[in-house]
Amino acid sequence: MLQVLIFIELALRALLLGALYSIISVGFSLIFGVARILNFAHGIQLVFAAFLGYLFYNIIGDSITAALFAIFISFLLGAAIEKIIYPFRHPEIRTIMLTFGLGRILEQILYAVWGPVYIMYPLYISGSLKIFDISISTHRIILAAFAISITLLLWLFVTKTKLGKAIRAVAQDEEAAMIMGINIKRIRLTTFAIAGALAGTAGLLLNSIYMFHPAIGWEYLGIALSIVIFAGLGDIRGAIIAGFILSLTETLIGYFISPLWRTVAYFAIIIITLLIRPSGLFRRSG
Amino acid sequence: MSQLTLNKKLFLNIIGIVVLALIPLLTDNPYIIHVVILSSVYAIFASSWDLISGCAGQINLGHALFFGGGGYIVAFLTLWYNIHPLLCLPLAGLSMAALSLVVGVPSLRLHGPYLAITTLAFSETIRALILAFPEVTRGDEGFSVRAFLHGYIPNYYVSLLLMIVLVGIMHYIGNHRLKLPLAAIRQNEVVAQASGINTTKYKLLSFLISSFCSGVAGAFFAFYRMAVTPEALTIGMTIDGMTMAVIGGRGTILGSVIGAFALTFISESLRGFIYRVRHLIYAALLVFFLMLMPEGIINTLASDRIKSLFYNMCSHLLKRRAKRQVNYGS
Repeated sequence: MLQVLIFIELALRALLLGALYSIISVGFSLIFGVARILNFAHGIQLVFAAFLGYLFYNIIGDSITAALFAIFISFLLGAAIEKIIYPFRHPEIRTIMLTFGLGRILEQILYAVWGPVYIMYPLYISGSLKIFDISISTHRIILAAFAISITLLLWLFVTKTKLGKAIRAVAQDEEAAMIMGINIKRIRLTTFAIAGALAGTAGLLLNSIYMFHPAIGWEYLGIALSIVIFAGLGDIRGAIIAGFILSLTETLIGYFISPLWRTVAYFAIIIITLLIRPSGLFRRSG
Repeated sequence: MSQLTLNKKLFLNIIGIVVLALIPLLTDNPYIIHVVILSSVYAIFASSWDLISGCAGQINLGHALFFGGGGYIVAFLTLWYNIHPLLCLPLAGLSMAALSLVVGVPSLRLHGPYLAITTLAFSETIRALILAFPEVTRGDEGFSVRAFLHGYIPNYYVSLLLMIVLVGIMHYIGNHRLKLPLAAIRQNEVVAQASGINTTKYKLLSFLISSFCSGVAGAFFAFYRMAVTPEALTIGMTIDGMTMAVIGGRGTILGSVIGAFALTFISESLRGFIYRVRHLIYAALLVFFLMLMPEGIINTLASDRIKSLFYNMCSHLLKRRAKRQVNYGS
């Protein structure tokens, strides 16, 4: 019975993390597609949103409202980052250093305000679900369902809606999209803002199960990078699939070896993928 | 004219070195000496980043790997094998150069964002490995290292000597010996390759030298601090070095020295809350310089407008003196 419990626990964790990682890396991938910019501040944006949510919770006292406020602020932060970076996108090396520096600024703002603390977002649904003598926390189940539905909505948004199609068109060919009457500037700004909001959502949800400290953003940046590299830069469907594959790998490594190996595994995946197949695993022609 | 500017530059450098060498005679405040030691270690680190990323244009986001790695090599060599400290410095440098081959041979064929990600990934993997084997590397605690020089003055002269030698070597390579091939690679690698430059060779060579110098600096820093922690391998360390190089002027090795001295002196002269947020100030300066003054201090000062102003002034004075001499002669 214990083994069944462990299996269910691991599967649930892999699904939950997979959905959250997909949300993070789809945002990252969208930015790369639309602007050809690797946003090294993406991981910190996620932690920043979690800390903002924590701050708002202490003011307002309601975790859902505070979360909505924090997500709205990270939406605006994404747009602001586009405004800051985009005029300086040449040469490439400068953009990389610029986004890196912006991430460092956000991280250090967190340090300056809170200091080296651990926080946990106070969003918890108590209770447990009992199936054949096995009890599973309701919080995790609801969170997993919520995260997976966001992933599905995101997929529908990118493939079916007009805005999503416009984003993909700009990613494919900027000039052709311009000729078709798409307002590229607006699409770019929207994409950065949406990616920011997605990062914020994922950050708040992750922070309700894992503790965050200001510098952990780099670790999530590494996770997003390894998913995006594994799938191929700019490949949105691949990023969603890779998110689930890598979260499963992480869960298994964490259970069978040691959670300390998580970071090693992620960065090793980046290195191996880039050395063997730099274009990504799911690369299709065109 | 070029001879004259060369002499002028040499003169300025010599003045700088002499002033630095005389500092212990002028002041017996150990704090100032400590800050200069820190600055010179950071100067080596920043200019070694500048050699690979500024001169050769290969963005390296994991440069702290070689700095912290040098420190760890020192800890292993002194604690396990009891090797003489003086031998440890070159050994740390050499092992970091070997590590740079491991990192560089596969990753330098990538470019742009891919290279940035790979270097970052290598550095973070090693840091995660150090944290994953606490029984070998003592995890977060790190090692304590026996100091090999006691007192500030010997440490000061050794750090100064190291800075002069290593930065001099990197300056010679980056700005004289390999200036043209590295500039070609930085500006357009495909064209450089097409015009017969062995880009892989030059990139690897500059990467090798850069990580050697960084390793030696890290090793000296470990002896000076008498401790090695994974802190030296973090992204923050890379960003600090990057900031110094960007502020001083990317691609001019000597600019990074100026940047390192300026930033270290500024941050050490701060107190209280502002000292706590010094990394925020560093990052803000990095972003500010990248956006508004991407050339850095040294290049802005040496820009044509200011240079021509200076030359006009000089030539005016010289002409007047020449006229006067002619008058005297007649």
